[in-house]
Amino acid sequence: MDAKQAEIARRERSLYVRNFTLWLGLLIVLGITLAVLAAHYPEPVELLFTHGEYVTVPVLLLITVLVTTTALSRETSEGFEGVFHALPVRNTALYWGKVRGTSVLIAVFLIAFALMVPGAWIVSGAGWTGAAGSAALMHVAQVVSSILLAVGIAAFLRGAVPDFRVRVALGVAVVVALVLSPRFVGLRWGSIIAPFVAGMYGHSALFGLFPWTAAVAWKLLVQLGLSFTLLALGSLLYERRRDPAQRTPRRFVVVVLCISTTVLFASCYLGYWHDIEGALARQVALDAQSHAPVGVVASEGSPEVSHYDLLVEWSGGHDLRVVATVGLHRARGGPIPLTLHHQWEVVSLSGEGVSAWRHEGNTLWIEAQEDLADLDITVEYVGSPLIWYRSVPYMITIHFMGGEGGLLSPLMAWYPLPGERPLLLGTPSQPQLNREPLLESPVPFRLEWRGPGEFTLASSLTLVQEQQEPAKGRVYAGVADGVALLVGRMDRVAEARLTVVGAPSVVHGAAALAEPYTALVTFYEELLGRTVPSPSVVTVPNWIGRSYGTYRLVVGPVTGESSLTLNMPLFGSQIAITESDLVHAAQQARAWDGTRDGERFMAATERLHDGLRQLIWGRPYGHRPFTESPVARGLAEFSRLAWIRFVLGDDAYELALSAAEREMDRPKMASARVSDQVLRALVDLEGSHGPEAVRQVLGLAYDHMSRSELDFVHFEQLLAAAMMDEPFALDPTS
Amino acid sequence: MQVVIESLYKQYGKVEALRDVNLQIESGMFGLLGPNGAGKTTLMRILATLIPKSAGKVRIGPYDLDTEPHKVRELLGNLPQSFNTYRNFTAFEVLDYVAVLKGITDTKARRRAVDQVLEQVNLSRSAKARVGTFSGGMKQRLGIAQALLGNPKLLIVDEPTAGLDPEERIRFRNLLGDISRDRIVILSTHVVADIESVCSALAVLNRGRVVYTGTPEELARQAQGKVWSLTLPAGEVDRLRAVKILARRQTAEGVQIRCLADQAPSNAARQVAPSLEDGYMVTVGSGLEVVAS
Repeated sequence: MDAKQAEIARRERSLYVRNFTLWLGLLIVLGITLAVLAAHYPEPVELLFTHGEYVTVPVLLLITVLVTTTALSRETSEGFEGVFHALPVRNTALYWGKVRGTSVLIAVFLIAFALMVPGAWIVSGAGWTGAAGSAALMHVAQVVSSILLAVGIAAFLRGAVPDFRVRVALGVAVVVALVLSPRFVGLRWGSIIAPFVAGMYGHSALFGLFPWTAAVAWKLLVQLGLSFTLLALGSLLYERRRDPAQRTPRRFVVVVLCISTTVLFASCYLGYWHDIEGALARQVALDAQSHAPVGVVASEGSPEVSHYDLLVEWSGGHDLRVVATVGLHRARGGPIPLTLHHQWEVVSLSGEGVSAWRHEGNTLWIEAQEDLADLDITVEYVGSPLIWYRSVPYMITIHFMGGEGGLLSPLMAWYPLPGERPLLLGTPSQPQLNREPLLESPVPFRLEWRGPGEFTLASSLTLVQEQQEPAKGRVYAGVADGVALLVGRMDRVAEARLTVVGAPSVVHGAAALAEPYTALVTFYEELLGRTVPSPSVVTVPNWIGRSYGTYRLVVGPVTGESSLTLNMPLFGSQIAITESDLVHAAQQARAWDGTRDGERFMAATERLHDGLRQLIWGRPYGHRPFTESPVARGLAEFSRLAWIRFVLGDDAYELALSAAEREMDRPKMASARVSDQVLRALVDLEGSHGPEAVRQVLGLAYDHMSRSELDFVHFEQLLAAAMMDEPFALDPTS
Repeated sequence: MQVVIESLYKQYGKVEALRDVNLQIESGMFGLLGPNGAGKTTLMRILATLIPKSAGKVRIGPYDLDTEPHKVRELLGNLPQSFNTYRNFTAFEVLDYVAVLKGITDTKARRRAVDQVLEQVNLSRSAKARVGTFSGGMKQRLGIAQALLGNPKLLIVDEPTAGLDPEERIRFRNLLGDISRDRIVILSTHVVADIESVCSALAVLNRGRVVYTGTPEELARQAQGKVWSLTLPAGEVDRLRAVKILARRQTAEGVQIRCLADQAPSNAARQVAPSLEDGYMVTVGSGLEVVAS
């Protein structure tokens, strides 16, 4: 760099620092960032920035474009242009000296955001983890690349547009267009030029950027390439304007190189997703295949499963080894079909009477002695599970194992399921997870987990034995309709009836939820007259929650009208909640602790209540949403209204009840009408016979559901008995 | 050194700002006169390499303006119209910055050069004051100071006295006269008095064309025999025919007027020696109160 360029850069830096607009702009950016973060959940550091990114980054871009455009046109606005451009300074020195002067912008914003990181950490009160470190680093990279992009835009406009006001207007328009680009050109193309990085891919407190690190890296490189391309183009155009007769071929070559490099990076970025699209398409093609009719648990010839004994070995990384012993009962002869995801490579299969087997697609066919009705088969298989899913509009992983841990869902047949089962329903472009029951009824499971000691496991089963020797693992057991595993560097917080498992920085502070959650559980125990289990609350990354469907009970604040959407039976008999939801709940709990405000209490328990509702009314199935049973929906709705009365009082209850009654009057499907009838019946029963009668019905329903689904006929029997004030017990087999 | 301008054209869209301008400028003070919109500033900006020309050739010293603009800039000092600079810098900082950009990289030499020009323009005592606190005259002096840095061979000064009070104007003219000894100074102005006292040669631009080149004395002689002075009662001024009134002044005897006319406008009129301004008016013939015939 020559002396003149260095001097220009030095003076520019000095002028920036003396510029009131820069500091005002910085205050605005920081102010908006802090306001957004304060309005949002006070999440741990690793979640803090990604949620604020959608406001912070555009504001940062806008401010930087405005400040830089003004600074690059400083001589015009200061009336010094006529002197400055007549000086014997080469175009390169003039242009790049000014561009280099913007380094102070990067320094000022970086220092500000770097200070925000520890500040945010202190404010959130969360622990610092490896994921927090990568999130902070990524955010810094995002800030730098955004500033460079803004400088590139301003510098390009400086060279291309003579009029200062037009430059400013265009700069603002370009920033707005970039921010909104995914909406107009689609996510795939828009995500290349949109300034957001990590926020688009969903950072996780547990898994960091896994498994999108490559996409993030390419994306950053594209952004940097675009920045330098704009700078180079700006330089070329600036020279053309200042000295039209001058031609510098080298500058043109540099522009071409920058464009080529940017296009290369963009190709790599698109190629990454293209490969994943290909993998997704192949997965979908296989996972959607089945000869079994939809809605049928077992296809013709399917066996029944009597028990599972699973040994899972993980040495870190992407590979798993599983040895599954499955007890089978079949009613007829012929090949025995089991569903095991095609990503697993079966190493061996043995069992009494087994003569042959083959693994085709997702189906494991077993030839066994025809006269054997009951048999145990042992399957050993290895693989690197990584299943993509299109959760509009993103492609995300829903089932995986990696260096930081992973998630295995029974919905993706990571152990043999009975019969042929399509894992996906719907169309290839819009596949849906098959949520039909995994088993006809829950069966005994035993699972032994062997993995590195620094990783913990959350399972839908109950832990019965801790690791005692290196060779022995943790043993989980229980009766369930499926087993999910979450592996990661997790912490556990246990207080009163609450046990929370998840990323350390997320569960930190969750103890504040102990009192509200205990109150919630106690409420149900009094409502049902039964002891309700206190399972662990498992926190999962937000994008996992999105992909398996987030069930929400949305209640209109004014009308009290509610709409039940999906629930997330991700962990069977454990409650699953996203990281953000847990932190939000903890915040609300702390606020409630200070104010004892009922609304805060409701907000603190809202998501946990969703999970508990599934646990209670989704029985006997752990992995089937309770909302699919009309009677269960009606029972859940009644318990919701009772909860409102418990927390907020009679007035709120009346409001909610009125809203529910208005809802009942709307035309709807038959199953929804059944739910309404259940609710209506319980409300009327309470009015005519009092809460004790309702407790009797609910308690018996709860007992019944521990063994089988409760249908409307059985429910009416319970009602009739309660009305006649007679002791009653349902025969679940009738 | 000389500046040679051949067949210079400059067009802004459909507007021809300069048409077929031919000039040869030697060392010393060269004045560029013309009314507003004549094209003076356009010509100055072209010479200062700030805007490109549409056609023609310009050589400054041994360098062609198109192919060697950087070499030309090394010879230049430019004081544009309405000079201004970074408000938050001190006068010393501005000059120091310009000195570096003009290639005076040695710190001591630069300091000496800056002190010298500050002394020359009488701003030494204000060296550490922020430019934002300067008066109009002080800014103009600062402007000439930065133009003088690096000992340029060609100084382009565009309307330097606009907005200055008479005392400042005189001081400025004297300064320009001092610095024009061994370089070319092109002074563009529409104030004739600025030219009269310091320029050895001048050109008059009107509507993009050069309508006169020569000495100030010869320009004044353009109005020889056409300048009259007379005093009339107020009501009779309107009865004058075929005259261009240059000035009118109310006196006790009536209205004293100075006018241009090919013949005596009345018996009371007496011929007077033409001034540079009179010659300029004859040449451009605009901006006057005209009594139609």
